[in-house]
Amino acid sequence: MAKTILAVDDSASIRQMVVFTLKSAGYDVVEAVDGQDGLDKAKAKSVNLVLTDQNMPRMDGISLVKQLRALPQHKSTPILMLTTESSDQMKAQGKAAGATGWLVKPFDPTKLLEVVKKVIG
Amino acid sequence: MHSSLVDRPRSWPLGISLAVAALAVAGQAIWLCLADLQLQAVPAFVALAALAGAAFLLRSGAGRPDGRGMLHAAPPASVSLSATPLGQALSTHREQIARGMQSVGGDIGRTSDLLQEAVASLSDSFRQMHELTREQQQITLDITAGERGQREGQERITFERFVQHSSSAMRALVENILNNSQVGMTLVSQMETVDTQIKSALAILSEVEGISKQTNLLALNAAIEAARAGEAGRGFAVVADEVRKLSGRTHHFSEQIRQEIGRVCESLGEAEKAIHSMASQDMTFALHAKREADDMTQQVAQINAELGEAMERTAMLSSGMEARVSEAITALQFQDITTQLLANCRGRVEMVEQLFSAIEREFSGAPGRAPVDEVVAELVSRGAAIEARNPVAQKQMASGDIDLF
Repeated sequence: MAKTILAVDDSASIRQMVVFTLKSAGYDVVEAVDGQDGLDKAKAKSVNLVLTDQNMPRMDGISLVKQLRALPQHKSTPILMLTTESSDQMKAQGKAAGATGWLVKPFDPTKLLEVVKKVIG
Repeated sequence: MHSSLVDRPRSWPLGISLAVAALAVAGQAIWLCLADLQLQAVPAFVALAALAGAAFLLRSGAGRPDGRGMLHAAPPASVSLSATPLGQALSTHREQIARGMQSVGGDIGRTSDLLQEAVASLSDSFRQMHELTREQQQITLDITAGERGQREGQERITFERFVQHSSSAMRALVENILNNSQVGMTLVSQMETVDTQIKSALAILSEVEGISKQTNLLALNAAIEAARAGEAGRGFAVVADEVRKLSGRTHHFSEQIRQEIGRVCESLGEAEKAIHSMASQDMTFALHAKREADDMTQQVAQINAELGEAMERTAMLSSGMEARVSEAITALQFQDITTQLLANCRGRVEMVEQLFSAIEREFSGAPGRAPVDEVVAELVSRGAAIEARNPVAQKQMASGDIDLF
């Protein structure tokens, strides 16, 4: 059975590219347009990995990570940040919030898949 | 308590300098970001920004040894600044400045929307290209592996196997034809032997016919002698007559045998001609066919080898195409990055717009206005915050770093 990945990004084109990359590799992908939407979908569906942007309306990525970590079902769900943010300060905040990894945009589809496979197989 | 240039001519040259600096930085940032997009509002905006900057320099006295603005030198302290030529110029161009700012903001928004739409379309096109390439690659692999058109339970047929089987079958067929031809030649040879034997038999039959004639002659002589002997030779005459009849029958059978052998000879002659014709004809055809089959086999083998090379090249091209699509996906993410940069630009434009409003209020002497110093200080602070919070540090489109915690 294919593993499910929740892709959270307010940019439709980025979501499109993430979905295309992951679906080509055989993963099921659930899309969310911002942090709040991502949180709602993570509560409603079982996901194996969350891939989220940082800067989004309504709720940013780090807040989403904190909210997900507060949920029992997502205490150990891998969460990867995929963002243009690349400062050490932001990465430290992400790590402190409970993110599993930090990927700086633009992403290389092959490398993204390598990381995803490494994290969830 | 409000400050004014008339009351405090030397109280805010630092603020004004910062404002001019903010203007310059904002203008430059927008110019750099949008230069490639060729937005027509940008040059107008930059011109207005320069005008406003010059106005502040004139007022603040920045760069003058006495620290007094050029504006201060001209009008007396009691004259309202709104009545000065510079104040009037700023007031006159206020609407144009505001329109320019709105135009820049609007163009940034439209650029962002257009980018999003175009990149979504491009991304979808690349996705479809990628899927088509994969399908093409799969077809190539299937053709190479001979999996297409395979029926369940059937042995997998590859082009190479087909060529091998066809070649082998053709070779066996030609060998059979050559063997048949050789058998035909042997038959021709044997027919010649039979013909010789028949001729030998006919010679023996001629001897038999000679004996029959001689027997008949002897019987005739015996009958003559029996007649001459009279009553005593009557019995001998009967024997002589029987011998003559026997000779006649022998002659008759010999004739029949000769006729039958003649017919056999005719049939054998026809068969010999047919076999000879068949043997010589088949040999020519078979040799010709064998050469053609060998040539065709070589050609097909060459075609097969070329086809294999073409398939490999196609597969490599497909892989290359997939890699290029992957690169395109990476590059297409510029939209997300530039959209965030444009949002930053928009924030700066709004800052400059507020600065102009503050300047205009200051010049107009409108009641309840906030001191320009405070406005500038706040804007400088906001500008610094925007700079510090700029989410985009990328200067090129190479794929970003990956950190796993």
